[in-house]
Amino acid sequence: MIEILRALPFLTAVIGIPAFGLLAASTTRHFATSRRRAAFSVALSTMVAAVAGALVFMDHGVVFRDPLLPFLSLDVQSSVLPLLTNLVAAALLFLAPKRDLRRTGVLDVMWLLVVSSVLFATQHIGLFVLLWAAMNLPVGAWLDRGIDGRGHRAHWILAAITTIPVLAVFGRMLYAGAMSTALWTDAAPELAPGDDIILFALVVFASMGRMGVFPLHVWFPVLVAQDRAPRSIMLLGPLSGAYLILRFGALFPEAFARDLPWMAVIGIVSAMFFALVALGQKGQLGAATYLVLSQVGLVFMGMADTNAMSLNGALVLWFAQGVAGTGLLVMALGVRARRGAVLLDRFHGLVAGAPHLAGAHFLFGMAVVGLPGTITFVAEDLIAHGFVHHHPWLSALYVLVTALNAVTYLRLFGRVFLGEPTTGAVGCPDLSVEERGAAAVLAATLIITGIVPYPAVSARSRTTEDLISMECESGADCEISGREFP
Amino acid sequence: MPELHALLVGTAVAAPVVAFAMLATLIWGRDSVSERAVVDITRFAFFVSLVASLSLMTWSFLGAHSFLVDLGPWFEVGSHSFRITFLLDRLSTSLMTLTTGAATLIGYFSRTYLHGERGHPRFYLLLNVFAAGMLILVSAGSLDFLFVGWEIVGLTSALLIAFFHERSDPVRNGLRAFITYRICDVGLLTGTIMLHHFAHNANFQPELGPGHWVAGTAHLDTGAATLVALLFLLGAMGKSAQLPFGGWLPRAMEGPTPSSAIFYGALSVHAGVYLLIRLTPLLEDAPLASAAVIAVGAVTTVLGTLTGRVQTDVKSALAYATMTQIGLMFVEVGLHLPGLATVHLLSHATLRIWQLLRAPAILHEMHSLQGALDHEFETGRWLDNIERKFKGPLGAFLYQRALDRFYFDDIGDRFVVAPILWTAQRFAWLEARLVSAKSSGGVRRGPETVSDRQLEKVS
Amino acid sequence: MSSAPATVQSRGGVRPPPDTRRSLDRLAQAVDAAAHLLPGQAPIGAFVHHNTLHVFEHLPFHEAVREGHRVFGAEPYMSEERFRREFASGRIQLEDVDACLRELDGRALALPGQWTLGDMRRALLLHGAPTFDAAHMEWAIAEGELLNRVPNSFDGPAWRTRMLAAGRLLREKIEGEQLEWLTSRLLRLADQATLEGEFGHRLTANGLSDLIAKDPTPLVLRLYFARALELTANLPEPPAPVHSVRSRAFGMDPRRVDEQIESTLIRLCGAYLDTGLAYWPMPSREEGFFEAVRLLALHTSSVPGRTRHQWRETIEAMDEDERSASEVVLKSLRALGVADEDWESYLTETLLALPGWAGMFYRLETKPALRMRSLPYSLMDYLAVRLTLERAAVAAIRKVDHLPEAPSPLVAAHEVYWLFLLGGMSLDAINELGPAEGTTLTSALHHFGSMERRRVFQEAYERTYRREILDGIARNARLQRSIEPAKARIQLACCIDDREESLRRHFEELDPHYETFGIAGYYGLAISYRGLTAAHGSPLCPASMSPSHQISEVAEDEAVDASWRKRWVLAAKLGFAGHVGTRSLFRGFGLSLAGAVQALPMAVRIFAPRTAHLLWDGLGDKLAPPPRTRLTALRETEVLRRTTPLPEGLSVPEAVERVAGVLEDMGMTRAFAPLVIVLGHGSTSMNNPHEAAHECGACSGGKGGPNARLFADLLGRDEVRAGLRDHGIEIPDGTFFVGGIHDTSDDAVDLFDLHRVPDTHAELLVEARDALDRARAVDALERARRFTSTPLGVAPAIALRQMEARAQDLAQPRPEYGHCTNAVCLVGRRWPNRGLFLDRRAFLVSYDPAADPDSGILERLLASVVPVGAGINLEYYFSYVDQRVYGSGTKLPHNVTGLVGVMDGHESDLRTGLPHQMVDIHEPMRLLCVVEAKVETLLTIAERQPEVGRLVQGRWIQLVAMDPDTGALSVLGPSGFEPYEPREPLHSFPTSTAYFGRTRDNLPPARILAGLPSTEAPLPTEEPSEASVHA
Repeated sequence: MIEILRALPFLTAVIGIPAFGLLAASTTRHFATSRRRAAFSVALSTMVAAVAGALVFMDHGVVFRDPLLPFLSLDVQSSVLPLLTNLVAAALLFLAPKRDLRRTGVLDVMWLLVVSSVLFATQHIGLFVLLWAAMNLPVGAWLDRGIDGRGHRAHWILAAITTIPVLAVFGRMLYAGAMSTALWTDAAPELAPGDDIILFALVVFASMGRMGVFPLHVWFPVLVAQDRAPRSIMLLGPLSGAYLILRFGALFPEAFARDLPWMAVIGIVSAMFFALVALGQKGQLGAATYLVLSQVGLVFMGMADTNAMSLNGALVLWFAQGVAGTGLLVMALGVRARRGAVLLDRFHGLVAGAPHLAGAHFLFGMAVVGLPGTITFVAEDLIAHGFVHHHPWLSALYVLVTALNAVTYLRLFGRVFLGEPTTGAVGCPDLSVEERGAAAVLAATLIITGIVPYPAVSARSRTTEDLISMECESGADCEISGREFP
Repeated sequence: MPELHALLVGTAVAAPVVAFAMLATLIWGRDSVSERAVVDITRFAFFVSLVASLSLMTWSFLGAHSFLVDLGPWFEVGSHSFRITFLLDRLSTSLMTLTTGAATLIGYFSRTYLHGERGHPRFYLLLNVFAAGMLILVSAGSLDFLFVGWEIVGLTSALLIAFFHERSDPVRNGLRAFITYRICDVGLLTGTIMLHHFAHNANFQPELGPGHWVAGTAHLDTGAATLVALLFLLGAMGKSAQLPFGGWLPRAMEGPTPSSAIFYGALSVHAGVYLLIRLTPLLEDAPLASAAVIAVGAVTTVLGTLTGRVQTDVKSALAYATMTQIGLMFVEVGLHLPGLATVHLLSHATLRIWQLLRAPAILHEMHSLQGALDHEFETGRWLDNIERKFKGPLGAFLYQRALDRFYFDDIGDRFVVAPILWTAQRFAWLEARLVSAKSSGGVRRGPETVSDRQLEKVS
Repeated sequence: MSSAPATVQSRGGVRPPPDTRRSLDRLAQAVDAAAHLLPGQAPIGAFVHHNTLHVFEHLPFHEAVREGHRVFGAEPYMSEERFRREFASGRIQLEDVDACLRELDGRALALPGQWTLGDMRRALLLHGAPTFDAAHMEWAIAEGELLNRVPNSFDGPAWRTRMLAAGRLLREKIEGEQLEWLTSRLLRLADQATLEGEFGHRLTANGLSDLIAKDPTPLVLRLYFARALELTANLPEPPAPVHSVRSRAFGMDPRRVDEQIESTLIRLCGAYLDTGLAYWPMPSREEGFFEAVRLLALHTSSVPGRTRHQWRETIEAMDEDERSASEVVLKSLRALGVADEDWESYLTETLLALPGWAGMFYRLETKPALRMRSLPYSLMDYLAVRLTLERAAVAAIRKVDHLPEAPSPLVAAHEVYWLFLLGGMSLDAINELGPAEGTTLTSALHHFGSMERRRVFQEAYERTYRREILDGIARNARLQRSIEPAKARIQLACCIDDREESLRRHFEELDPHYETFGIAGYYGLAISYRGLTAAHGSPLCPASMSPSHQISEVAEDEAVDASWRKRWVLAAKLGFAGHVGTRSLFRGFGLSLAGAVQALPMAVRIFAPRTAHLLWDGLGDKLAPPPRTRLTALRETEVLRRTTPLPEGLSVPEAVERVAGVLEDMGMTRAFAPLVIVLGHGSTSMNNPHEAAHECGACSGGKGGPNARLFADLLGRDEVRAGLRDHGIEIPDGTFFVGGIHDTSDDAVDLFDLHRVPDTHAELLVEARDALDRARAVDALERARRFTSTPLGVAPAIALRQMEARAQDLAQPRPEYGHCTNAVCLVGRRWPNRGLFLDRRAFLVSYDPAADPDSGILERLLASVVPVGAGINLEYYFSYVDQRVYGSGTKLPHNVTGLVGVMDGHESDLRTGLPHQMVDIHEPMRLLCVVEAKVETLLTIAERQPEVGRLVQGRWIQLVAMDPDTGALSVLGPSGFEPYEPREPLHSFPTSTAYFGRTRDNLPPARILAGLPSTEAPLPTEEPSEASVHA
């Protein structure tokens, strides 16, 4: 009973308030009102959840499972992720330009927020798979006739590559009869040796699609360019496939605990490829898009190595990218809304008209590429150090990618905001006071966690400990882990 | 006592950070900020920092030789713990004093110099970040922590070069400096990671030599030491503008004079030398790397002084003069004379900051010298410098090379930057085809039709 | 020394064939025509103010600034936004705006409805016409609130009523089954979903009715805009932009070529023009720029890329006998395919790509006196180098086209929409407009574009100030006429400079028996002066004159001189060795190891500049006390130290003639006081490459002390006084002249040769020095009020100390504000203006109409004073209104180059004009010249003196005549002189300090009672109130 009382406020905050917000937003036709309602419900949800979460997890690490809510429960994972999702949703609702939110964006974001909050809290695999599939369905595309054929196809590609493998895995596990309770913790199936690797590979494939790892990323740039950015950013960021790997990784501990050089190689290739693509972009939005994709490749790479440092780093980087990448993309969308196509072959000097837009863009950009003082730096440091023991050369490549991305970003920033102002620069409207506030909250999150990363890292580190101890129990390569956990 | 040191060094580093946070909040919140508030906050922070640094320096020269302050882990995962440690010895405390002293001076100088300038608050904001970064850089107890300061210094440096961002040249030159830094930082970061790999740690003490900083040995075999030292050399070359990476230094003279003075006269440009001095024990184990350090320094110093002689603007002349002396410092470090290099560094920094600050007065000074020396001034005959020995075609050849700065920038642009950009553009083209093919059901479109511009224009 | 021949004649003696010769002649003409557009700035050490748009001076002012806009891309006036701020703060008043609007031609345009053209112009002036480009327009409609709210600036009850009426109309339409009419218009702006999202209601009859009931504004404004779109749909497309000759010749944006070559070109120009910064000079400089560059180019490596490679090949391929610069230019023009008739435009565009450097070559070519090295400077050489580089770059770069931006219909529609709002038109009214009326609106708007609006604002701005200052002058003169002046005990002559206005006023405030005069600060003595510590003579006379005599400062005692000189040269050698040494390798090692000793002097210098200066000066005086000196004033007394082309010292008749002229100009021909102090002026500042721009303009940017010293010296000599007596000027024996110099930066006043003052005058001298000390301290206080670093209301002594520190402060980009507030020039007797507070804004020229019956003196005065005053005023005007093109931007990144100029940062064009920190409190308005003369006299002079005439006719200055007999004012307007009647009363204050002590802003004139004869009755004006001071 006490547990319910402790879990309830939190669940209400992360599921109830957004659900209410979704309802409220859908009842008005007035776009500005709808957006305001949604935004404030998310802001409220974030605040209540933060307070409630802090109260609940004073003695952190407890998993609540209570008889009244058999399929919902809370652990560290499901407490931090909804917060992150809320933050990203708030950023999108407050800061994204109207044109990106206007058609179905507000409802899309709210819908994803509610569905994902349940997804994070569910302990039931079937429900999980169902919700996962629901998230992938291009609800917004159905509602909207304004999108062209390419956009529709991109929606379906995404839905297919992320849903089918998961359904296949689920089917195979049902077939194996491992689903007696259908709860995560009891669900480890009995499989023929080697099967778990295939299944895990399918999971990784699905997550690559959602994370936008090369070459399964194609939906993302198309949808960002086609005014479907908010939903895509949510899916690529906080709701990314990393979560899928974590959850299913626990089901296939041996497969997960194996050294996965191929996964790391895919990650670094993806990161390197996108880093170069970003550098070669002609337009600012494209450059920002690929910059984010490149950094996501690094998250994927970090998940490949199973020592505490890099896995931990990957998780932190996932979170950091979720917030920072969202910030950067939203600012890039804002630039597009204000100035149309902004090409990078010359200087535009937009800072003359929009200093705050430039400032926010810069902060988020620096957070994306890992400026010391932001949480991304901590994450990247962990990944680099994690990799050095197993794959020193991958780690050197990793450093190269981060260096390249920083250069790309600074070039992008310089071209768009600095230099001799073009005639239109004075006509670049700045962020409104409300937007400034939202950007400040987002930036403060990145910087405060960057300066005091201890809570964030230790929260993650508990998850990784769980995962790694699982590996050790299952007899995987524990030498390194052994040294690391004396 | 240790608590006191921790408190002092913590205060010294934290003061500019706090000032930065205050200024950032002020600036973000409103459209115009009072200059006085900005200056007063900064001045107070620098003063506090200066007092703390001075006390630490006094202590280090009077009492014990060196001391490691551990403020605990910044974050930790398993056995990896990123600890905030400060190594306080005569080297670091002297440099802390130099840093805070120069920052105080520049902070005071700029209050009138930048009065009425639109970027006034931005300048002070960056000055605070820079001071914090530089203090971390010189007092860090491990290479990991040093890297934090190193990055911050690099970024603020690029941003201050681009201070007058309404013209394109400063932005371009700022980016060039940043790219150079980044390329060379790969060396520093990889070196640090390799050091972790080989030595499982990257602390200055005791891993890189116990006891006083000029003594001691590192615990690495020669091969590893050479590799790591060479990587660090790469890092140091970028920051300290050694050839072939030195081309950004004269181009960095785009910002307001005080920022040129503190960055490229005094502090930032000496960071590479500081790093190498710190790593003397490592260099002592790696004769090959020491030779490389000497070679880099010697080449830079010779070509730098030749180039400096033909510079016709006061700031570029000073940039090359600085580069020349820093080259000599590299030679000193390579010869394992860290003491000499340290004295040279401190003294040189003082001299250059002064010269750069009064660079605009050159007209005044030269005219009065001209009055006294008359035509001797014009010919410079009595000085009899080396370049006067080069006559005829050799003279023209060398002069031409010097005027074009021995083509280091051009070579970099042509053989490094251009190929990377070329590759990037090809990749972007590939990606555009991939995106258009995948998402349009395999319908092929020409590369030019699926440019980013069109993607952006779609509505 | 010779320069020009190299440009036209070919080397090697081979005469080019006749057709080539003809082409060469035409080329020379084209270059010459293009070169006149280059900035006329001399090397920065000899800064002389001049009209920045001198080249367009033959045009009327407003046309000239437009021409500047067309040719240089420069701003003609302040921005509209700025003018509107001035309007809001009262610096521009509505009645003046209206008066200036009335002067515009009332083009016969019938505007729709009751709207008159005047109303429309007034509305446009006060509210502006926001300019949007296509992207911003899309944002404003889709993302912003443009069509959801009436702009704040004219929202009000009228608009609310208008909206309600429109709502009623719309409801009628909806009820009248005209929904289709409504929605079809709305859907022009956005699709249905978007509109519904904006309105919050469906686009059905019910939905729209609900919307109208709630707030019809978003709906109505959209209909306005839709109507505007409809009206502008058929407007002719704006003409396609004309491509420049260069872009046609290159086949691409010329900036891409410039980016390729300018770094190389700037380095080469710097190397050639350097006068002592690099200690490795460019080889073969004496052969000319092109030849020197050619020799270097042969050594160029092709590593850096194709442009370099091409360049070297081009240069290698040149024939021995075709290497003269003009032939190279000719060849390059042909190679680039520039048609003959385009030469001039092409060369103009080429020269204006880097106007600073090109201008420096041209200036040094045409003014040999400015050269500091005897090298052949030639603009043609510069062109030859530049064009060979351009050719190489064009051949080497891949050409890329940029798609032109398509014009957006939204932009044109917004203009009409804005007029709807400005005119407060109702929905009914705009629906009734026909296409023709739409066109009328657009063209009315275009005929009163930003340029015209700013022009009207500029006129109104000047008019507001003119009324203010003329009221003051007229009222004060009327009061002064009733008072008898007191006999002078001390007379003080200063430069006409506006910065001396306050010093003179404060001096006069001390005692009614003090009298002051203003005269151009070279005191009629066009000399080349060589000070004790200078290597060469430098001209101390207006830039338009050439020195006629050499004057040197020599030590009275040879032995003292020799010993001093030895130490002084030694110190300089040490300094120079240190300078070079710290920049070299081995010496640098030693010196930089010892560099830490600089720390203490540096800290003292920066934290306590004044103390540092005193210590340093004291040290210098102790180690090498300078000898007592005298001037080589009269020729027969002279021992020649150095052979110069100029005669050393003046002969007695020459001296008499010049001195008499000056005394007559000043009107100081009788009633000499026992002590006459003659002050020149100069300015000292640290870290300031533009120091010379603060010095005396009448002395070619030098310190005018020597002129004053010489003037006093000559007047002290019996033979000169005897000569003067023949001129009818009787100087009593009891009158003694003392020369001195006023430093406008630290407000020091130094008097020369005081040991010669006879004992009879000792007491008077003490009094005078005391008076000067008091005056300069208050003067410092008055200057200090402009600097925010000095709090208001400090004691004069403290202000003086702060000014002294400021002059010595390395960190101070504003050691003084120079002529920053100049606006007026008063030519006439001092008496009518005595006691008038002019806020350091006026040039004061002494002139006595009573002693000038045939107005010959006035003509002479105006011919020299008007161009100089206008030059200063216009340079400040232009440097202020466009700091990028005309001015030199902010000082902070300035980088002294070759000791000839400053660049921005690392490599840029040479920046000309005044930096931001020199002009930032300036009010850009044309000089208001008030001359005490008859209207007819002025008209005759304007006719006789072409330069004055040009400035007056072209309205480059504003001219006001003050009748010498009645004191009546007449302002020169478009239709001749019109009488001016003052309206505002003049407030009076006991002292200047009491008046200016409370504010940093510009102050209107006021009457200062101190120093006026005490017999005067109490003034009939009311007590000043706080409000009136700030008004």
